[in-house]
Amino acid sequence: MDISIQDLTKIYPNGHKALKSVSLEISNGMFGLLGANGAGKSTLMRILVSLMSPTTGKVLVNGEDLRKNRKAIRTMTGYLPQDFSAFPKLRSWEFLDYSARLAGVKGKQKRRDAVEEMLEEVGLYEARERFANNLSGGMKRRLGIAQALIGDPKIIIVDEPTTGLDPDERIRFRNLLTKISARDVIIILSTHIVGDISSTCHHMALLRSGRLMYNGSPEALINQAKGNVWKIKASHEQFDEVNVKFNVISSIPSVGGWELEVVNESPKGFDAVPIEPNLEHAYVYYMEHYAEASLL
Amino acid sequence: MISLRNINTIARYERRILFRSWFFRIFAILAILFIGLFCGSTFFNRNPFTWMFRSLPSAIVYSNFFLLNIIQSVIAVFLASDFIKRDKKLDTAEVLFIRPMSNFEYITGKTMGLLGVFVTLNLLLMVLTSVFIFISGQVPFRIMPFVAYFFMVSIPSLIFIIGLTFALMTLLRNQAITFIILLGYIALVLFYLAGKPGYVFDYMLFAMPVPFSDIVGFSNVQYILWHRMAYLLLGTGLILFSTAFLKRIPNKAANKAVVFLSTVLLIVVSAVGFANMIRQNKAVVENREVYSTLSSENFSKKVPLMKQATINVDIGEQLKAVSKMTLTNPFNQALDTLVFSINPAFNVEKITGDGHDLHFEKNALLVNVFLQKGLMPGKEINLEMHYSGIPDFDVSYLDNENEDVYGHDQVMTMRIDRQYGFYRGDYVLLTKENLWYPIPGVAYDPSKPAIFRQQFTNFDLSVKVKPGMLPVSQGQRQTTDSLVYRFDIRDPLPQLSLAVSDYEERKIDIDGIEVGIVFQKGHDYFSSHLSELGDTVKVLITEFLDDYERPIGMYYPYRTFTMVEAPVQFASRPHSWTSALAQSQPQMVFYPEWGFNVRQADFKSNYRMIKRDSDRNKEGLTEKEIQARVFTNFLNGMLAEESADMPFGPPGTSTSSNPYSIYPNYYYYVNYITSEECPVLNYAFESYLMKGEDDPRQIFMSRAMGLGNNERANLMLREKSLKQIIAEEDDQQKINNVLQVKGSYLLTWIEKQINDSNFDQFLLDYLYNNSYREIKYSELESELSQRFNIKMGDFLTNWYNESELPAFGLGNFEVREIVENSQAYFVVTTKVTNYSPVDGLVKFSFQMGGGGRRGGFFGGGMEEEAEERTFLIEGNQTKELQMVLFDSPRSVIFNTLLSQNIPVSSMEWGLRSEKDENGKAEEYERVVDQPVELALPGELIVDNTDPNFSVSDPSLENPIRKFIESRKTEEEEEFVRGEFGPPPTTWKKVANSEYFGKVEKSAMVVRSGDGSKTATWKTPIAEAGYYDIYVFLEEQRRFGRRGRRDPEGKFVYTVAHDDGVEKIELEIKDFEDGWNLLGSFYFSSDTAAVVLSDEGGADRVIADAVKWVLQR
Repeated sequence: MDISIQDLTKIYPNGHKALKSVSLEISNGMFGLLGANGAGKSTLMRILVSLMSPTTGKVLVNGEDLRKNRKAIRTMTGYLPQDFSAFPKLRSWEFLDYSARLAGVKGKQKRRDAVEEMLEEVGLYEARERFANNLSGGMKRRLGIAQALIGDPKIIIVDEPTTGLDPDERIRFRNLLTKISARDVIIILSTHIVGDISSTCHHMALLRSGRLMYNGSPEALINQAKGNVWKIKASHEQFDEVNVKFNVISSIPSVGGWELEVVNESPKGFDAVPIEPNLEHAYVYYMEHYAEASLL
Repeated sequence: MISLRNINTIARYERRILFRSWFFRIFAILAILFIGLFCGSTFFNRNPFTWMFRSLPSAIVYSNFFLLNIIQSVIAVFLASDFIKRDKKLDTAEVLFIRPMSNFEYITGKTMGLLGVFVTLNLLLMVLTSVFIFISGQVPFRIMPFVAYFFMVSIPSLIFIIGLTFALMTLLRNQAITFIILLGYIALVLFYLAGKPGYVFDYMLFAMPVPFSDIVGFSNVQYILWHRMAYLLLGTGLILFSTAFLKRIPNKAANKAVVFLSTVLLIVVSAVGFANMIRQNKAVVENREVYSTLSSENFSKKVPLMKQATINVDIGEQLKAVSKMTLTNPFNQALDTLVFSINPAFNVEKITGDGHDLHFEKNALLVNVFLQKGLMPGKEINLEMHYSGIPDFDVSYLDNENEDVYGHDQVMTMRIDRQYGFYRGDYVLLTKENLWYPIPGVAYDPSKPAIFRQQFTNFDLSVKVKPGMLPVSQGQRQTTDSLVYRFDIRDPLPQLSLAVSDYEERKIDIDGIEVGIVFQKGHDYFSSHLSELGDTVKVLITEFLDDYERPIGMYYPYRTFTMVEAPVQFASRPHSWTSALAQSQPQMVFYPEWGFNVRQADFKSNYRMIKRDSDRNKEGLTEKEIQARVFTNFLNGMLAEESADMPFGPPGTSTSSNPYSIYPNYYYYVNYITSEECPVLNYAFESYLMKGEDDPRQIFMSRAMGLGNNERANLMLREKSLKQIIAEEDDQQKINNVLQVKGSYLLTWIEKQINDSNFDQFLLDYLYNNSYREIKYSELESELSQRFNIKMGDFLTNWYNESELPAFGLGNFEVREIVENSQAYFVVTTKVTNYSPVDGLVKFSFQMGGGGRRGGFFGGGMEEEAEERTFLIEGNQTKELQMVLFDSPRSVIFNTLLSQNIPVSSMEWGLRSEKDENGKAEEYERVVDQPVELALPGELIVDNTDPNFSVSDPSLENPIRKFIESRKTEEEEEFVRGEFGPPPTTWKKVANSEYFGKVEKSAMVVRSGDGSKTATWKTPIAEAGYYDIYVFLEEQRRFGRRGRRDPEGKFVYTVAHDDGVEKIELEIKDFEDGWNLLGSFYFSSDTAAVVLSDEGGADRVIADAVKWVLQR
């Protein structure tokens, strides 16, 4: 499976440019799409699931133009939108059955098995008879992912799936996606939570203001930040100064002052030691340096 | 490819979601409860008002669908708009939108889901209705009405309203606005558009009558199909439209184009449907215009007399007939062209005259036959006309307004369209109105009311029918071969009618009259209710006829009488020259199937009522006796009543003639009097000879209803002459009322002139001897002059042309019992003044049996004949009248016939006689000087019609009220309904013979309120002194079960007198009939006033008259 996004631009009727010439190649496995709120992630995803047409550019799925083969591509797609909520008056299993039918799962027994399997997989089996309006936030989200996964889609697109989940559920959720990504599928995960990507994706892209900033592996992104992430021990007096001068990623109070992690090439004048960057550091570093350069 | 699987999936889950919505559940439960209660209360409550549902098998189905359809339209709007709204709000829709189904499948699925919910509800209600039908056993179960109403009424309405909602939601994307617009649209349709001609806008068949006859089903299937298809296609088109504009990227761009094109195609096809309906309606109007014009243009042409006609008809796919006519020229000049009318849809194939082909021209309903040599005066010709076709019933009743002809009758929730004939494979009903056989000339001139042409012909009819069918017509039916029937008619008739169906027949011979009933197979619902009667039926029918004929002094002239079952839609319209309606044909009456809406045909509940009364009064009637009463009531109610009373109709509803009356057989189908100066003469005779005696029931009814038909007629005659009314008035029923009043006056006048009690007998003999031919007025006039030596002079002309009416005042009655030669006489004396300059007649009818005998509800003793006296009172004359009776009078009706008096008739109850030792029992009428005065010397009376009386209603100053009042049309009558009507919100006049008044017995009435509305009586006081003040009131009687309780509330009067102002409250329960004392007060010579306000908590406040009596 591969998706080729070619020079995609989306301009909304109000003139807002949500995507600006985005080109991407996505192949099997988990693909992370990282960006701040409003970066254009959702627009890109909605174009990928045919909820929206691009203004220019095209999307090829296995070499087939999405625009010309919507039905075929829709058949192989599962989608979890950002603000998913099920019909309040349908039971969990009914909603999954509804999705399975539309996704083309034929045969009553087969569908029943698929629904039950999916309910087990997302941990909703106990809640299968509950109406959607009686599910907790996490359960709703799990129901959402279940409906996206039912019918064995080849392309799974999940938009901000972990927002609002508690840590346990988030981990479960990531694990579930990882498990599925082992199959011959493409999972595109859009998020503004860096941790979601670092723990699951081998490929990722970075969007900012509709522009593709980075496309590669998370490791390569981290490598670029190497030597530019520092831990500074600052007194209470220095705290404000550090905050003004540098891009502070974290600040932990310590004995007699603060331990701050900052992104900077060489933070001079402070008690700074370089530390090993993680994806979050890399994201901030990258946004700081390359983004501004590329925007020029 | 369209995936049914996807559609089904979406429909299934959408349905599930809807079924679980509380909105729908509440609606469904309410609908089921409501319909259940409705079915239960109609089927298990055998009161007369439920008879319509217990007679016609489809009535309950129609009614339920009618109600359901209105409610479900509103609910469908809400659910459908909610549906689309859901798609817009939730990302739920997006997880469906990314699925591979097409937009078409999605919207179709949604529609099917929505429809499924309603269909389930429909099915549920149909099952419920069926269960009620089965359990109650009141009507036979029929599957067809269910199928017909479900597919023709419910489904297209739903699809249309769903489509409209989807489309509007798609365009507006706002549920609230869509909802408001659609509710507005529904309201507009319900209250305004639905009833527009052709019911084109009536998407839910609210106004369009669609009763389902057990004989013919829908009357106009083709039109209904067009109508429903048009809405179904439009609805589907709109659904597709919303598919085309659904905010979802279609699977293929081309799909959108296909859907869009289909949308356009569907809408265009439905537009063609609508255009076709409009065209059909327009064509009807245009055709009728043509028929009317031709009739008017040709009416006055001289036409031959059709003495004999042999008609052979073949009732097949189309009617094929040969009519052999023997025609005479009654004029003294030759006829070159013979004019006939025949149904415009018939194709006249050939006309021969004495065996030779004749040249003819057919133009719509007219056939002109050209004779080379002409038909010489007094000569005969045998004409044979061959024709065929399916009749066009739009030719019927050209003299009535189109909106009446194509209107409907409303029976509770049911609307019933009017059909004037039927020609279909399984049922045929034809009357002269349809011109199903040729008649000489044109029957009437639609532009000139009251004028018509009648010829009496010896008909000989043969009818060939399809196997299994039975024809019914006038005369005795004889079979010549298995499919051809010949009717032996014998008597000359003015018209022939024919019904052919899968009929069954029962008949018996009663003194040489073959009396029968013909009904659709399986429609015998009556036999079981008359099972005990056996041969008693003959006795009962004989008694019925005797009772009917005795007062009119005429005899049933024919040898057969048949009651024929006709589809519920069969209707008639009145003609301005007779009270006969087409349901009553010579020798037969077409009764509505299953006795629908004929109260007396409800044997079951009539049986129960009679049995209940019998038990209550411990009469101990046997089963047979009860059945005999039921049957007699049926005959009387159905065939003998003059008018079809509608006591619960809206105010101003005129009662119409009883369409099933057998009376036309006694006069209209037998006699025909013509007068060029006064074309309504025949109708006047018809009305007079029907001679309904002054009926206390009518006086009672008019008390409850406000004005009766006689009062309305007299109000019209105050302004215009009979001639003007006939020329200007559009309302046929009003013309009929006026003619009845005038006709009765004319004959009463002649009778009075002759002053011979044998006049009636003379007239009846004369008419009998001149049956079946045209009598010219001049012949009658010379006969009257020879026999009675009276000159009609220009009375008839005046009667027709003059408009001034007399006005009478009636004095008190005094009854004395005088014994002369050991015979007791009851002498009644009274005085009558005619206040107007024109002469007039007054009639007294005495009901006998005073002396404390108690009767039933209306005073009993209805079967007794009344004693009548008529007096001529000249203009500005007062007469003292004395009448001698042989029995003690109980009550008297004073009938002013044709006058300004309101009410026209008044009744004096409870006459009491006093013994008079010295009096003489002689009748006289003396002219006296002293007119009837209601006030005695020393009395000052102010009535509500006097200038010194006034009312005030400050609420009328309110600009909104002002606007509303100013918008009220002239339709509203001057008088409002009496006791049974709702009290008016502002002062209105109400008439009642119990009220005070010289000529007009009326009062002002208003609903009680906060005291702001007042009525004021003023009078100048000439002589200072103490005065007793009285107000004229009526004792508040209560009828019915809730009876005995005293009425609550009081009237509050204010009297301003010399010592101040006094408020006097009179409790309503203390009211006595007539003058009630308010109190005595001192007035110096000035103006005195009594004010009545609307406070006091009574149901209504009535202001009539006030009297000041000087204490001596």
